[in-house]
Amino acid sequence: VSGPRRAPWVAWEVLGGRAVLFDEQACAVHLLNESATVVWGLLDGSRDIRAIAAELPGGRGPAIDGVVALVRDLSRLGLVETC
Amino acid sequence: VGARVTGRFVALGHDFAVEADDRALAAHIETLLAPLARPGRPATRYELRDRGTGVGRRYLVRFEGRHVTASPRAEHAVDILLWHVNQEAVQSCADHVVLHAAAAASGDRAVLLPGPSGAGKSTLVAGLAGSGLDYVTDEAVAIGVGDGLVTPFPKPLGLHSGAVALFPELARIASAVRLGTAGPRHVPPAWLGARPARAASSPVLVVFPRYVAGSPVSMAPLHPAEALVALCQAAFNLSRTGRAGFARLAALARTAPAYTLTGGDLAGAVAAVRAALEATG
Repeated sequence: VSGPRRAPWVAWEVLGGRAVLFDEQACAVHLLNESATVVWGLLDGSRDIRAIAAELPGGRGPAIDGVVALVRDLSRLGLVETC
Repeated sequence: VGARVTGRFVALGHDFAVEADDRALAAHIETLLAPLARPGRPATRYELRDRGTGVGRRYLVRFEGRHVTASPRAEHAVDILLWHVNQEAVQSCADHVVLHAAAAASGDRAVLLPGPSGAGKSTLVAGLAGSGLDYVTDEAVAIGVGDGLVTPFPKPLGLHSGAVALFPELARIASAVRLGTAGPRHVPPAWLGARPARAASSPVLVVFPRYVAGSPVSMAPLHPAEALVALCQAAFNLSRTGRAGFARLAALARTAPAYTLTGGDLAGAVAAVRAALEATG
């Protein structure tokens, strides 16, 4: 299975449950909320969107839409590779 | 009257001396930069030339033979020279992540005060230094990427006229030595009775000041992730230090409590920061 993965030029740290992303190419930082931080931690390329949603608290149901939107936003920012 | 060359100064990694036609100007620069004085031969040299009354922009500043500025006023030429020193100092720190921040230290424990121009960094650090803390810098905090220690950069403080009025001791001293009529924008820490830090220190507290005239002092804790974002935004050279610099700032945000401080009362702000610093010990 191949799924979205964190871009290799992004360094990240989790502090107090929230991830801070450092895009080394753009020299830009981004702050994720706690839910997005959980998703970010799962973006290692081994899971597709459904599998990621299934691992979130509360199950896959409405979470899929949120994961899709988040991955799309992260991809637009160049922080995630989707293929 | 011949030119005079100052002693050697070291501003972070920037190693220089100043050659000035005007001996009084050279002496003034030595007063301003006294905490940066080091023995030995300088690696680079500034020239501060007075081309005489017949020249409109009579004061000329060069660095290593290259033009920096020409100005009709000596104090403006000195301003630009000191600005250039700061730029070179920041550029000289390849193995440090450098923050736009002031800092003061109690022994080997430092409080960092990051913020943009106008946030009140210099005024607050002047107050802290006047209250007995060591003066580390008012502009550029250099944190070792490898060891996390802060290298002192006790440059002259840049105080605006409104801030100068908060320190009565400056009015007495400055009247004797200021250049022109611009007043003492650049204040050596000694004029505030402050001790410049000599040794590296560990950052144990981060306070983001925001000056709001007439407002009471309010200090609020900052989430460590938000503190990290703010630290990154305050960094001059994150593009150069890359992920190693980011990791160093993350380690700082993880270990040092961070606060925002809002207000317009210097005494109250100094007391709040000192109390927070003592609480970290």
